[in-house]
Amino acid sequence: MKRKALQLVLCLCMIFLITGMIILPGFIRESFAAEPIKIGFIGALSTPYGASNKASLEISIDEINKAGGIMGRPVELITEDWKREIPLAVAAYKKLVMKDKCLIVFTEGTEGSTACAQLGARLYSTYPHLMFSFWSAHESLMDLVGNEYNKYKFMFRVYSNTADSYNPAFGFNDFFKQTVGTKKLALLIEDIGWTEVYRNGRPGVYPTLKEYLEKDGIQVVYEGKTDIKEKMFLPILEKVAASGADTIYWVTGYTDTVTLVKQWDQSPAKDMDLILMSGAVSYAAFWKMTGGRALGVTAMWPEIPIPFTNKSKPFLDELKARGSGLLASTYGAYDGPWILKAAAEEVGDFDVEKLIKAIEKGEFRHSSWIWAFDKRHEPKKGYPYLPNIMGQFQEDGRYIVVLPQKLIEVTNPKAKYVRVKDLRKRAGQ
Amino acid sequence: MVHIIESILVYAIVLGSLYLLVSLGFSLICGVLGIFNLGYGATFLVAIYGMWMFMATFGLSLWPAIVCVFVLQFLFTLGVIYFPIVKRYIEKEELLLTSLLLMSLIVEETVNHFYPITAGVDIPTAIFTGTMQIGSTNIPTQMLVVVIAAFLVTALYVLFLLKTKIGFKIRAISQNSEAAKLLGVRLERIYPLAMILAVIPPTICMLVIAPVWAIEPMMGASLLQTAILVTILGGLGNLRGTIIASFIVGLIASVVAFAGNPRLVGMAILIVVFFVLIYKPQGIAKSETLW
Repeated sequence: MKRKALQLVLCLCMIFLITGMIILPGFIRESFAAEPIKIGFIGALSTPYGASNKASLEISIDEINKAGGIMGRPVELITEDWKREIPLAVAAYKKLVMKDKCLIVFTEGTEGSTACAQLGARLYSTYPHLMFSFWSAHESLMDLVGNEYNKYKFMFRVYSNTADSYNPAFGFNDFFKQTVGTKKLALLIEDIGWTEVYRNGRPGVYPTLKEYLEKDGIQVVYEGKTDIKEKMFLPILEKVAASGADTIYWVTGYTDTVTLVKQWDQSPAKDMDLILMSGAVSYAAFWKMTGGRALGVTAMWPEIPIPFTNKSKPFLDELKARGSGLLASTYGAYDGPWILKAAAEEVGDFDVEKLIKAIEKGEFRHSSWIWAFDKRHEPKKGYPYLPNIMGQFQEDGRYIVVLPQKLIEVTNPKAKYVRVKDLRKRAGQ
Repeated sequence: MVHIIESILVYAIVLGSLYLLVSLGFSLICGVLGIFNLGYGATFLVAIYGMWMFMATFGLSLWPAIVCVFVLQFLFTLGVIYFPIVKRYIEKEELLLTSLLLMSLIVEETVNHFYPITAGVDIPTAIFTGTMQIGSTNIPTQMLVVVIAAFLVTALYVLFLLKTKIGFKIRAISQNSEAAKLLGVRLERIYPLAMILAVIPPTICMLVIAPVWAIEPMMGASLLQTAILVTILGGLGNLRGTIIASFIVGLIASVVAFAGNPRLVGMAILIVVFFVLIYKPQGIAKSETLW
């Protein structure tokens, strides 16, 4: 009797064991499949850029989840605020990679991204992950992957950098010579880390911006450096006016472009074309901020909704509905998770090494241009790859695309760049 | 050369007037209450964003909005700065400075929340547009308004302090508050009055420079820095010193900008203030009294 009972128990155990062996892996797989893919974002959330990047990532991730996630796994966004303080960025990166186990971390800002890249390189072997950075303009960042591939291969940049101004694919000098019609240029550069190459050049690699422009036949008749805290631009504008320049190219990023434009409009330099690089001038609201004094001002990365693909408009509508602006890094923030999804689905895996190879080899397009990365993990340049977009404020604050030609055709085919003097005449000023 | 000298002189007056309007109120509080008002930066924000709120949000036209912004400024100064903070902590310096700074940051964050830079804030207070030529130097005509406003406001304040009974009391407090108290001056009445008087120049300043200046939520900090710099150079709480210091700073800025490198203006001002403090720590005028 005892023996029979023992046999029965053994049989039951075997049945449980076999059943378990059949069901358990599936069960484990099911449980694992429900685990979300975590995406981290470190942004200065109180700034327009941080808010726009966050909203873009949220929209992107919402859409990916509605479309079934990435290979059936939902995507979760974890956001951290670095308040533009490097120690906070480093602490946030550490948390996102080590504690939250994020597969990819989006970072912004040159200083923040550089610090995170250094930390990421140390963590990578233990915590394999990817890093996408935007708003990291310093040209030294782009050499990291090129010079020490194995150390920094996890890092991709989804925004253009300082050295792009030297890239013929962007047609920057042609813009001055052909579109604007510049004969004599006043070149002003804000004196801060990210403009170092422009001011000092890099021996054997890049000339100074002045040398580069002059080599291409643009005569620079005035050159100056400006403090990013500057509020009184009138003396500089007075000097620029006396230089005989017909165009002012002011490399701005952190400079107070609102004050600059208000004072330019009431200075002897007001009939000179004013080309600014970035800053508040890129916002559509800049027109209102300057009380309409931005007539004729041109800037890079203007806040203009451009219909790149059929996905652009729904995204931009949603972005607007969420109260966020369209800024330079917005497309990168929105397209970033889609690049990850495409790469993961291509390799059928979340193995970071495989993902890196897939991103390196692939070409991706969602709401904007084609994303393809070179050996330094820099985006390929020149439309249909990453474009250099320039916009000009015309009458009634209309912000129109004036570069590149292909985007003019799809955005404002009838409008073109008009010299400031002519715009003022047209506006009856 | 003549053009450079002309430009230096014109801009020394223009910039000096601007610095004077920015610093006058700060200096007054220093002189009367004997405190470093680290909440002074918020005054600029209340002025400019108050105007915007009344015009854009409540739909008021320019003049009613200006009246309302002065009322708002007075209410803010008394209701948020003076009674809850200054009056309570006037003898406890660390608490006073911390509270004032915190209040300033709260105002900054609030403004940034409701009217971030992308809100496109602009105040249509331009009396003149375009430029005017003085000799061979061009300046925005609106800057002439800044100069006139600075001279008028300063003259009125000086007359008020020298010729009125309340002015005498204010000066008495600035010289020795305990002695003034013994002679029957009621500090609890003069202090709030001085606080109110101190917010008028920055409010006027904001209204007249808005057409040539950016309006953004963080602007208070840099204006506070200017006010501190000028007031220290002039001698803490001495209006005469503040007037002279404003034009000295204006002169340094324009000399460096026109005869040297505009990039070095900020550094040159800091260096001059630093050396003045080393060799004349009390500033240009010894701050025994407000005037």
